[in-house]
Amino acid sequence: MNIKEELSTWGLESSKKFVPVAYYDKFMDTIRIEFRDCSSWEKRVDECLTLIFDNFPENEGSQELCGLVIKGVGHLFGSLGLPDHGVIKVAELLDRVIKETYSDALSKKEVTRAFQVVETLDMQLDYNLKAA
Amino acid sequence: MDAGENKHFFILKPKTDWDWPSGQKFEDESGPVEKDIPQNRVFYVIATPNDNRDQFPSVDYWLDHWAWVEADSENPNFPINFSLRFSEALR
Repeated sequence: MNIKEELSTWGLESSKKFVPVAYYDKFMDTIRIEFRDCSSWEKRVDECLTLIFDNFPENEGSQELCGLVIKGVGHLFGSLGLPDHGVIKVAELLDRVIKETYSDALSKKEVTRAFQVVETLDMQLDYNLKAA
Repeated sequence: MDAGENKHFFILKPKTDWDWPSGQKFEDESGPVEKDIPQNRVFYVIATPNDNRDQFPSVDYWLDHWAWVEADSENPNFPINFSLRFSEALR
């Protein structure tokens, strides 16, 4: 059985190309923002933020950012008065969450880089798009 | 929300990793490529014990998330700073 046949047995024959995505995972109470789809590793910045990097970057030894995770969303969003439904811009979300609550993290170059990538992609977080 | 304390972390050091060639997922029949495991990393799986045995009697855990993370420099089979992040070791 080849890979396409195997996928079809799982109802995945219409799988599409990956596009950057942001979603709320209610089981982990996190927002995951993924720019790239690849084997990755996670680097915990603090109790609020984790960065995701490519395990096998084209430039060996470099740290290529693949995404980030915002944790403790329920409490954090309540304290900031952020919406917990609908569609919001990811760049605006990060701006509020990081600058107002975890400004210390901005001193890290890799967090600033994550901001720049998100702004470039102009992504949106759709609360209706949830992890399984 | 279900992101409380009742999470179990399964820590693994697999012998190999798998990745799709860049931009080729589902594009042809080649499938993912076997790779050496990333250096100085361990793999963990976060799972929630099933507390609904009446409805799902054969399920032990619900798998929430899995990822590679940095290994601890002194205990390379465990995640970095594991002693600060986990409350109890279950073996």
